[in-house]
Amino acid sequence: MLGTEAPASPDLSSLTPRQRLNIAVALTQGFGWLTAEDDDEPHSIWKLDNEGGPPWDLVNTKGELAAWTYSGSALLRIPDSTVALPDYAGDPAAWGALMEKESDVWAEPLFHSGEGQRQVWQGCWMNPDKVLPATVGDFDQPGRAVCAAVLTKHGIDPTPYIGE
Amino acid sequence: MNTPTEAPTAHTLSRLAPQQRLNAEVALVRGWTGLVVGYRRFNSLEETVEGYPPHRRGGARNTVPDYVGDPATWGTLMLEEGVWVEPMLDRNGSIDSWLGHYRGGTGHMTARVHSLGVSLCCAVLAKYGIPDLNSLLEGL
Repeated sequence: MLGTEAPASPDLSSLTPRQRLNIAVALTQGFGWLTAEDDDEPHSIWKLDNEGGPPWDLVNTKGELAAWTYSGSALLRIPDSTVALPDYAGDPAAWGALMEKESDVWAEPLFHSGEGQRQVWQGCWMNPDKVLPATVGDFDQPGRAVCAAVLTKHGIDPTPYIGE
Repeated sequence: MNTPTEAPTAHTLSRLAPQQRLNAEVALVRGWTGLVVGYRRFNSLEETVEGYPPHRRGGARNTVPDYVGDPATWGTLMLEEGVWVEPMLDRNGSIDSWLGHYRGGTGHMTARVHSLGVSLCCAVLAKYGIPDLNSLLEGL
């Protein structure tokens, strides 16, 4: 296998569902590089390949699959700056800002009348054909619904990141 | 006559800029009470129009959030107040304006406005029974 190839099935077992979702959304927002907070060695800088490959194709600067060591303190780098990975899924400030930045993404509640008015959220975004909004999912949190809508809008199937 | 424990009332907000007024109204219905500037406490918001007036909430003193203009506050409003938005489309299918919704009875909606943040604020105020949204929206 060439060193620049990313394995088809990288091990993401060490990531929590929320971390996976946050990383996937970060890719759609222009984040490109990941580094661990406590390791400044060059090999600890991972490239997130979002050009053609699925977002979980993580290769390091040697072209090897990153032995993923992401933790909540990991940093993602956007051009010329380094910022902490936002908690898009869980932080209302992050997914509120996401709604603003994407401008045509929002979350709507669904009320299930036959189930004691149980409320769930669906993610919504404007279809390119601009006839009807597209909806995705049935989520317990509006933040996850917004994230799923953003991924769908950018052509990414949110299923692997949302989980069951 | 106002006593120091009385919260500012709606009519005392008239001298604030439209966005400040709306932010202050939302803050008030969300449990912010006395207005404090520096170490002095006021009974109305008339005496400060610069920036976002600090309010006191519980035992803490903070700056009133910019519910209208800061997207970082929108998610919090949706989550804590149970409000949400619905886009209205123009003839080309682009989002033209937003309706704010709040859960009450069958799920009421509020005025159609161009700003997502304003629509969320309207939904919060309507939820708490603030009747005259139109005057609050003037100038926005």
